[in-house]
Amino acid sequence: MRLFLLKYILKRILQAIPLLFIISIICFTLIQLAPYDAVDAMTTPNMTKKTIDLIKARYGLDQPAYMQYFYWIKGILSGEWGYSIVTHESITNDLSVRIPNTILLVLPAYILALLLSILLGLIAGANKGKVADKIIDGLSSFGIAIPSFWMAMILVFIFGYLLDIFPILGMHTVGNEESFSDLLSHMVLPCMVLTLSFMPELVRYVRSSTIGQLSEDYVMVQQAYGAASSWILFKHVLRNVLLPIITIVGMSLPMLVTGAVVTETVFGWPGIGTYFVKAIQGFDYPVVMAIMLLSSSLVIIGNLVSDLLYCIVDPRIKGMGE
Amino acid sequence: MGNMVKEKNSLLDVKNLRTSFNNGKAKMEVVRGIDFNVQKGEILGIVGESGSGKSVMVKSILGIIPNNAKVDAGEIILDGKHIENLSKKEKRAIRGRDIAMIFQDPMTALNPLKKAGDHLIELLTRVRGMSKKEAKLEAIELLKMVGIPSPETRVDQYPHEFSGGMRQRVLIAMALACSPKLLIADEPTTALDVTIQAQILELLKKLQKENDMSVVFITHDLGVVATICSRILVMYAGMVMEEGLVNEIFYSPKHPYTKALLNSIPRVDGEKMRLKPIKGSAPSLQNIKNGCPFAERCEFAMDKCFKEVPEYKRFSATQKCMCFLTGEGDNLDD
Amino acid sequence: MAGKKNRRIKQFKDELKRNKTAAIALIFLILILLISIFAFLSPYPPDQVDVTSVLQGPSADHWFGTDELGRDYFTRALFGGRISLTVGILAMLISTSIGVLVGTISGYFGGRIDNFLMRSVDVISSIPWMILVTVVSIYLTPGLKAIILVIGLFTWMSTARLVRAETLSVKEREYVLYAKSSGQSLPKVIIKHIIPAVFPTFIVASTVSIANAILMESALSFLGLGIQQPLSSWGSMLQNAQGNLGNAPYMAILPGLLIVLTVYSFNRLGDILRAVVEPKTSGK
Repeated sequence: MRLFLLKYILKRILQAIPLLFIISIICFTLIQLAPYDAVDAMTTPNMTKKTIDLIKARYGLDQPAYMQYFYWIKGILSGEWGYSIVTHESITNDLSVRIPNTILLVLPAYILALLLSILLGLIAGANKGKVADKIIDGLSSFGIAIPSFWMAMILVFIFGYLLDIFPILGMHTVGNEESFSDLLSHMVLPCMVLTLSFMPELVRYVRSSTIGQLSEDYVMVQQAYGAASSWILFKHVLRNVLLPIITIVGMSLPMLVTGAVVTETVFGWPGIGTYFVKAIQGFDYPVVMAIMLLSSSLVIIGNLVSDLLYCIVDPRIKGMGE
Repeated sequence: MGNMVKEKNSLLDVKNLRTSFNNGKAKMEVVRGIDFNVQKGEILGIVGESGSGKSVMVKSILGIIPNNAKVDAGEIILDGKHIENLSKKEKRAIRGRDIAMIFQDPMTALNPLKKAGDHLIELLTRVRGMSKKEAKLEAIELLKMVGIPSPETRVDQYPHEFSGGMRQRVLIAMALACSPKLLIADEPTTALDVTIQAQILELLKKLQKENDMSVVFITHDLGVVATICSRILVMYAGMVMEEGLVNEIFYSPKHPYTKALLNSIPRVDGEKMRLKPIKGSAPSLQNIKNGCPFAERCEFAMDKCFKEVPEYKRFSATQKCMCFLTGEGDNLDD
Repeated sequence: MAGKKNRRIKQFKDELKRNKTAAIALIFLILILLISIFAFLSPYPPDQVDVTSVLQGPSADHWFGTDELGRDYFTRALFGGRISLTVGILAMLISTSIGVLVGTISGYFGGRIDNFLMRSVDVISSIPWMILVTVVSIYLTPGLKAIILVIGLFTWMSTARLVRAETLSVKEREYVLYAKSSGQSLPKVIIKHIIPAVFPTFIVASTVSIANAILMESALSFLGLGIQQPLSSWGSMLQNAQGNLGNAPYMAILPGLLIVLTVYSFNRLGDILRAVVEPKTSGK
């Protein structure tokens, strides 16, 4: 790899670190501000004052705030995310169960939404102003205005109550936890909601990007050399449209955790979303802060990754500095 | 010289070409009845200010006008065959093969995500049916022909790795790839430095001779025309004002607009430089008035000029002009 | 200045004539605003519990049926609209004011101030809005005030970025340079020259901002983190409807439709305003 690129990557990583640092301070401060004592998560009411003090000393809770921050960060980095004050469960354990569940919903839905959006966006962009475009663009601007939970309710009503073909709650039918087809049928409706709610903005993005590319000079040049419009669209415009989408995909990384809060709630899906909402309702500060730290870090990392990916893929940036 | 405009020598004949834009509300005539022909093996210059419709006119011939534009009338005869009523597919087959075009801005004319060579290889495989391997060798040949040094490595480089002049050479290589009969060059040197301009003009001249093509050279710069063309068409507001051989246009111009254009070229007379810009600005095509389109800016304009469009008057077998002031055969003193 | 304004208004009218859906959107917005204001004219008080007519489907008496306490659903939807629009408009005012303030200061002063403000924007934007807004809301007493504040205080970042970019280009223009060099005081330069120049950006940002605030409020209220009983907004009505989806599906239709149409209309309004403000992009 070229030196220039290496330097740039290093610079971007160095820029991300202070951002992560500040976010962690904000989270830590919010926990400190919260009206509870961290030690409550680890004690039971019948413990003696002495045992409580011992526990406090062990976790560094008797130390000044900056030392506590240091311990906290050390814990975060070594995978010790603390304990819920409501259930007294280890947050690390809870997260490791819940994150895969959310990914199971969000990832297939996002991939499907992305593929469909590229297709529809290209069709709309290439037929700007014609019927196909008017339908696709009109539906997307409507789609942006539809709250995902309302869409979920409508789908639940149609497919769950009216037609009764898909289950509407949870991940498994009780007593049928091992069945893969049962899991799939539980996934259909929430995935459908997520796909439909991810799509409108992606479609609009691909559409406007396609329109922009089609007005570029190189398209006219290809026309002047007798290339068919489908050839121009797929052999020339497509890669110019796809390249910036890499950025969008990178920036969607945090969606793997927080992309389905509302949808999970509607369907009672045991992912991060329901975990978070329950924590908020129960004032479970350590859990809330853990999710906030996790999701913000993913935003920063996602931005970093998309920048770096772009650098590697775009020949124009790769060739700079020569 | 008198029989230069002989029909059998003609490669391209355009008669009464009309193109208009429609922006939803109003119709704008951009090309307003143009007649001209291109002889085999000649370089025809089309001169006009920006907005005079010269670019739209050649794009109408190729059939690559934007969606909101429409060719309203006209006959286009290429090598004895009418092409104005061909289907989209048939018209596409002509582009690149019989007529090739190079454009004003070489910086944006190549797909930034495709290698320079791929542009050529794609064209060679599609139009000339070559295999990828043959096409690559031919691409290297073409790059060599247009004077790009070390073509073997350049063929695998991306457009951003080329300078403006080098990109224009790549585009010229594309134009030559299918040995067209006619090359349309739409202001190919406008975006380039003066020294590079001269190189590109030299190259075009050389290639035209070697390949025995006809070239239509569009420019707003009469200086460029003088060095490369044999005949000139002067356009204004979508109409041909004057047509003639280079010598006729430069040494006995008939139309006031041509004269004004000539006066606006900076030239060094001894120590002094005189430069006389044309008053006013190019006309808006949105509200076309009756009469001669140049009347509003013409210093010799008469009442008549605002009322009706003058007929063409012939001065020689090769020169004609659209103006009331000039009588057939006589020379206007200035 | 007045001429410019009139031209803009004319452009706006032309744009409406050209764009039928936008005209319908505008009419809808005016209508929804009027019926929210005059919601009290409904024959049913919004909180009137009527145990004899619980969960009735749509009828001549109750156009959109009644809820589980026998309250007239249509009336409740009208009053819910009051809350949703209030949240949308007030949150927009807070958010765009902060955005314009931060954006102009950042763009006008540049240097360290700009750097500091923009890095702060980066930090706040790094926290997903759903998480940020809910986290802050647990430190406040839930209710109407809290939700307006929370949405208003944490959604100004994109406006700030837009306004900053606009300010950067405006402050180099000659009339601003002249005003500065002729000794006008700083607040005067900002108020008289910078703010009017960024005003179009502000207007466009504010319509989009209302739409987003309404969507956010509905999502939060749906999760039970927003508007609390006895008040209700379209979002909290949908939360209520979810529990009755099996036996009273009609309850989900009206509030949802109202959210969609209102948000869509505000976005459309934003589109035409953008077309008027930036004529470059209007040629679509």
